[in-house]
Amino acid sequence: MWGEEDLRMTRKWKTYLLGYLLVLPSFLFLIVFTYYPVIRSVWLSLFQKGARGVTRFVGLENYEYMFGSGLFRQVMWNNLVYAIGSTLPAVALGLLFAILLNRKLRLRGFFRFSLFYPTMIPIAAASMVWIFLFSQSYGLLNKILGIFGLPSNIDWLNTDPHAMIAIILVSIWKFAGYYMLLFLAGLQSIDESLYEAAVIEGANVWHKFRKITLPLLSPTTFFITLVAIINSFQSVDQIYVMTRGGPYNTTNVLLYYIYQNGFVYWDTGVASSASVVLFGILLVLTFVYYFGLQHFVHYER
Amino acid sequence: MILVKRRLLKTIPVYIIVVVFSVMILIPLVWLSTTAFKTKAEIFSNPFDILPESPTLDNFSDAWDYAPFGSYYVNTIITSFGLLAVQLVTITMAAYAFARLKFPGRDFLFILFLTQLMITPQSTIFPNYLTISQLGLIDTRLGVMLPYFASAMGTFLLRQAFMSVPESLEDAGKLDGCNTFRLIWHVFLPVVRPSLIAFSIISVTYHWNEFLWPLLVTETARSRTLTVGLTIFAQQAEGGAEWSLLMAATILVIGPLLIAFTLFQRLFVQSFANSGLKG
Repeated sequence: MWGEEDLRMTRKWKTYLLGYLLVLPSFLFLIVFTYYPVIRSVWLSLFQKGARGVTRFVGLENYEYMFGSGLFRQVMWNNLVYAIGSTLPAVALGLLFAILLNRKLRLRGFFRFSLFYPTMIPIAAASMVWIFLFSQSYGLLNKILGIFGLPSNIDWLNTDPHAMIAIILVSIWKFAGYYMLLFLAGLQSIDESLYEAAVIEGANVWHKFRKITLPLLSPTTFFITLVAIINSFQSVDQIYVMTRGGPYNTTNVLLYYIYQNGFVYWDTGVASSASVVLFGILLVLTFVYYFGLQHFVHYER
Repeated sequence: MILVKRRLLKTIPVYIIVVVFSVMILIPLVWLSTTAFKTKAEIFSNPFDILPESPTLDNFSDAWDYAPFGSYYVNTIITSFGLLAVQLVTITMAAYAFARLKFPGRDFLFILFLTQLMITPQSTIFPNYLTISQLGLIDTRLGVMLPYFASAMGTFLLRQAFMSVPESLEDAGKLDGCNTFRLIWHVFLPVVRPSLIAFSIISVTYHWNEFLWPLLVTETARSRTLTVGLTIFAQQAEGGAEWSLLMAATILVIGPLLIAFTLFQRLFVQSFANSGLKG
């Protein structure tokens, strides 16, 4: 005979079992394609293929080689330039667009389309148009520069500072509209009555921005800036399509370096060590992002 | 009257700035669209005329003939929507368990799930390529999709939505004799439709646009997606001189997303706005 107690126990165990069964599929995929690859990168970074394809344990030699190499240092420097160069203008423009569009405007839908559409389209495909726009003799950019009497015979994608500038311009073009959208969400949470009160006190546009909008948006700005920096470590599609890291590695960044070592030179050890470095950087950035987010969310409540 | 004038005076600078930036950001799209309809000769004779002299559709049919864009389309549609179908199943199951069931270790497992948000796919492309290759899935659509079958972001979004479903609704479903799967299907999923739509839009857009991973995993038209196919096509077009052809091919790749975005602008914008800061 089954008592009341037994019945409750079986029901409890059934719920446990159901819970585990429901998370099992996701969990299996997470283990194989998210956790295991991290461990595998760390493991493989400790080995190096020697003569006749024999793999041997080398400890931290791959890291020593990498950190000692001029190329790797250049790659990290490029990534820093790319991160700062694309983040600051894109976030500033995003904020500007959001403030401008956060009001009743005619053609608001059209403006939103034209500012946001780059987010929707693949950057690898958009880069095709950009190659055309940057082309030396048939490119629109040089033509426009010429109209303004500026140097207009620039070989954008094949000369030193210009290639990185081109990569950064494409990145700003791609992401500014997305940051605008995130800022708009932040702006809509600001109480309208604050502005009304400020107007009564005689505040002008600049004062309102400086004393109300900017301080109240500072958590939002912080997070969007982090998103932008994280993006700059992940977005290399236009580098692959437009410059292949060139000329002379001046647009080679960390993820592209991993691609080169892993899939062009087939250097498993260095590709894995570089993956570990990228993983570490992104882990720190996303950690700050999500834990900061949690803190702010609780704080607001 | 004076008030209207003052308002107008205040908004005119706003319009000027917005128009200038909109035009600047639209330039690539405009250039793309007009170049695709120009003849090859016109590109070199009048490269800077905005409107084509004698608009032609030849570039589109030529591009379609020169490269297997048909297969690229099929592969892209199957990988992005097939992946979405799998994700919807895995995230619904996991989100329901995390939101509505009590079992030992639940909170720990959930935190473990969330760490996926910090281990971005880009930092694992190399080891994941090795795994896909060991599974014999190089140059298959399954290989393109497999690493994304579980989604912490989707699970998180849906869990939040499930938690807001009132207890009474669940009890009513149970009284009607629903088992867990019918309960999820008939009671929970209809309520969280907005979250499902938002996740679907973001997932499909992301994977339609994805480049580096499919570039590595695919090798032939058997599995190659549109973005990868386009760059292969560009390498084949003679020295990149076939601009009109290349621009037509680019329109083939970005067209569907642009049309979808134009038609459902509000929906897209809301989905992306909600995705960002809430993870």
